[in-house]
Amino acid sequence: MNISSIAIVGDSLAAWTAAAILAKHFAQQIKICVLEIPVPDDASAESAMPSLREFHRLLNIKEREFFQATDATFKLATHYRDWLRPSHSYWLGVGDCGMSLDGVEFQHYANLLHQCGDSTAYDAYSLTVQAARKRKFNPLSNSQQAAGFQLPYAMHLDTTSYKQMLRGYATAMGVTAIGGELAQTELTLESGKLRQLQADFFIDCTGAAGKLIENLAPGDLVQDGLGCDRRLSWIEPSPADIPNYTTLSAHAYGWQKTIPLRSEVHQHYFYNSEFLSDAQALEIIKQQTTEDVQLTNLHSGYRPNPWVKNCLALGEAANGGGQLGLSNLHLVHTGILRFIELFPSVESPAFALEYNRLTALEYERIAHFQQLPFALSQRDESNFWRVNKMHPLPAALSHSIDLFKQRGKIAGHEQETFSLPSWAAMFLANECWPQKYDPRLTGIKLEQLQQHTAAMKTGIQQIVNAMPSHTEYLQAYLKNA
Amino acid sequence: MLEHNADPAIRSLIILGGGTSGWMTAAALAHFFVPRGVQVTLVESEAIGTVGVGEATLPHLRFFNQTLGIDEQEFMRATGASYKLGIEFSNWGKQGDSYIHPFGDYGQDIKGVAFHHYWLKQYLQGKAHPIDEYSLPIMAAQQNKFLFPSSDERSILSTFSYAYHIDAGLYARYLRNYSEARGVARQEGKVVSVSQTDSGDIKSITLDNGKELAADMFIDCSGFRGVLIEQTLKTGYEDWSHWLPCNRAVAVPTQRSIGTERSASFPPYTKAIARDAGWQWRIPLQHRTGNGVVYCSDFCSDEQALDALLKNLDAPTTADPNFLRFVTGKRKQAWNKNCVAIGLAGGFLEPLESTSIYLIQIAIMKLVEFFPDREFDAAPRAEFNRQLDLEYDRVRDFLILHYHATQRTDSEFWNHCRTMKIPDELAHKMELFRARGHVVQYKQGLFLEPSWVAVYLGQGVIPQAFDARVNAVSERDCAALMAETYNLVARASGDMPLHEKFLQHHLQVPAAQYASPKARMSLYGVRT
Repeated sequence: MNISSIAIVGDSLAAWTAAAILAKHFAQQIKICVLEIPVPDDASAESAMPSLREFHRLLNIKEREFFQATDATFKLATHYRDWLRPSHSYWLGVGDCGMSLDGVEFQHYANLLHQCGDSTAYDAYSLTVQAARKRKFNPLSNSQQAAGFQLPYAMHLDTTSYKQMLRGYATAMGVTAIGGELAQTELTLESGKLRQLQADFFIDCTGAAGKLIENLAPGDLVQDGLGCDRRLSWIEPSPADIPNYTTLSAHAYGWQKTIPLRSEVHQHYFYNSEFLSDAQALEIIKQQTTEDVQLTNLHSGYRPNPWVKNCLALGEAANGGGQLGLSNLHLVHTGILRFIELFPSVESPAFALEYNRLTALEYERIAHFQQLPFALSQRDESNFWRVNKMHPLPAALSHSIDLFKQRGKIAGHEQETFSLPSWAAMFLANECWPQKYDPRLTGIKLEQLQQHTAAMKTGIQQIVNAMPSHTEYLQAYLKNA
Repeated sequence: MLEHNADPAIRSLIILGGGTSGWMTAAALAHFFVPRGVQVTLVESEAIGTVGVGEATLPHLRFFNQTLGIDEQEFMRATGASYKLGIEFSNWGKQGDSYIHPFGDYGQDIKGVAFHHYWLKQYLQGKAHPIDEYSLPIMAAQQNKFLFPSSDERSILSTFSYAYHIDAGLYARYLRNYSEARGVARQEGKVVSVSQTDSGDIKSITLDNGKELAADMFIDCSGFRGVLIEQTLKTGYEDWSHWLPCNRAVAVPTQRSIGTERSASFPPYTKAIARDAGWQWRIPLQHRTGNGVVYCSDFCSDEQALDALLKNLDAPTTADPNFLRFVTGKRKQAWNKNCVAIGLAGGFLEPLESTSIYLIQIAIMKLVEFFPDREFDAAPRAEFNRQLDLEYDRVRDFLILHYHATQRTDSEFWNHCRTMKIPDELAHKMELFRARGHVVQYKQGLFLEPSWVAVYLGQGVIPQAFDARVNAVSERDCAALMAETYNLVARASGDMPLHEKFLQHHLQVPAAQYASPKARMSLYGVRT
């Protein structure tokens, strides 16, 4: 296969993300176009992962320009409300808790202290969580970094304006945008050819409908099992004190995702129509807001073979981003970068095979991580949660849970997206303290360990106290442009 | 004051078998768990010989030694060691071929794309030097030179790592002293019977002197026989000889001493020379050279193998030849009940890439990480076995590649290897490399991209195409970057001292002047 032209189909964030990075690498050798057919179900805002920053580095996009263009905010953590049980909440920071000592991971020390009666919450050792709780932000100084502290972060962004930004980037690099009538006609891809448009390779970014890939591999879709199939979305004005975290609130029939931008807060209410009618859902939302509410049908699950013949499905056309939709944009990044890594210069089925193998591994790991808040939840007040409770866990996830509950170990796998310390933090946030402590810590001097952890907590608090608020930081950051 | 409850901790542990695996395990436990109250006893018999596996090691052994606080100079002196930068494979792809698999990288990434893709583009146009000339450890090895790597990523000296050639028998003896000094008890004797509990756990072993020794946990380092893991627990063995057909070896040491007229050619690398029905190793130590032939009994008799070995020695022998038999493969569960098999009792993947001691080390490190208590929870044991299986599977595929990627048609053995069915995963990996130089990526495993590139290219698996991103770099920039690496490598390897001189000097300098670089669990340099 000698690819001299690529057609990206769909006017979605996935499409323009793919166009930008493909142009960056191949603009001189390959004709790239985007057929801008409307994609109705793109989410209006994204809660990104730190990998977005890496992606911007690849594109040479300046972070401040990104912030200005996309109403963006910093993201230091995710706040899970009412998941374990109503009125309980926990936080999961970007980056790791504590630091490993003598080659033993930090969670084992925290567990030992917990078994000795210490009641410190695990996230007290997370700088990102502590800063997020107080809605504060400031990059660390050199001396703070030298002392071993880190403040990794991600961003919240407005999808439409970010898409426009990438569209500008890609077209400036020579990508052709095709809109108008051609983008309005019915699409069919037959024997590797799209009626509207000739190209050697197609990237399907048409959203959950997967208009091209569905034509090549009809019905080849695996259901996640736990998904919600409806989303109600609305937009509220931002509070004066802008949060620097995503909120995920569990409710009786599903959950709600809150993404704070500088001027607006994007709310998404997810539910399962089997247990809650659209009318009932709207009724519930009307108690929260008077804004216009938009209903979207969701397709959960993923395609085990996102690359078929000369077509690659990307974004919602490939998968729903996991049960909590926390990794949609991240999966677009890894997907297109993996495609570039395996860019087929000769005819061989091995490329698609390898792409699909790695993508399936990656998706499984993400899906398992996002399944944890469900798997560990104690809620059972509605059919939504009762069905969740009865849902059998995948064997690998059961093994991970057993392994952590017994000894605080994390089962490491290839293609892991969430770091092993993040897995540990998720278990501990859900009150899964291991039954036993690590035998490598037998005989450790507890007073010394306590002094060490106390110093860690104090250090974190001092840093957070000295930080300006997230809102103040954003104002100064954007003014200095 | 805070206190933690005593959990049902392991109180006593028996290691059955000395040798490299037994004493490495004993030393690690002496470091990690003897101070935490675990009583460790090693049972071995002078009457049972040990198999001197893997006198050639990998850089990971440095990490093992450093973790245990072992001084490198003392270790070098005690084990007759020399430094090692890689392995030279001769006659594998075809007769007359030769390449070095280095402990290091080729060139450096350019714009996130591995160097070998840029090299391939130039090579396919007939414009590149051999890829070896962009690798510092290879060029140093070819000139019999050696220098410690640097941890400064800006330096070309950060592009490699090193290991040792050691006398494994002396290493075991050294670790015995280390272990006994730290409270490990040694018990002389041969096992005559083993008793089990109702649940099948091992309760005690009885020795030929009548002593019965009980323990909470047992480590089986009894070698191929697997006295506990197999003869007692009937764990089962996965036989891989249809992929790795060699099943015999004959070893013989020859004279060698540094400081002779041959000293300028004292190689800092292992040699693996393909023969008609197997291959011959050559391992340079301070006091002798280790030699041997690994072969397959279906294609070669013991006499033929010995004859081939003796014909190809460059110095007089210093001992009688020692014949070994083995079946390549691995134990179905290295950890079964209250018994963990380490070393040959756990599996054997022939010494082609010096992995024997590495696999011992990895099993020990995972044992320390998943160290149980008397309840022997199922999940940590399952995880230990899962992770170890992954290590074995990936090393296995890499070894099979050496046999399979050959154009040799001059013997039945090579015809067999060239045409045999290989694991699907390996066929997939080879297809991706052939198509466009892509190396299947994984994080958990010993041999990563540079190693696969070395063997593929060294044995004539040449890709049809390269990564398309290479075209985004102009011909001129690409040529300039390649020339820069080439020159840096040529200069740095030229400036290095001879291995012989470096070793002599470092064996003699006062301990305070011997600064060994910090080790990592990696085959490659810091920059890789």
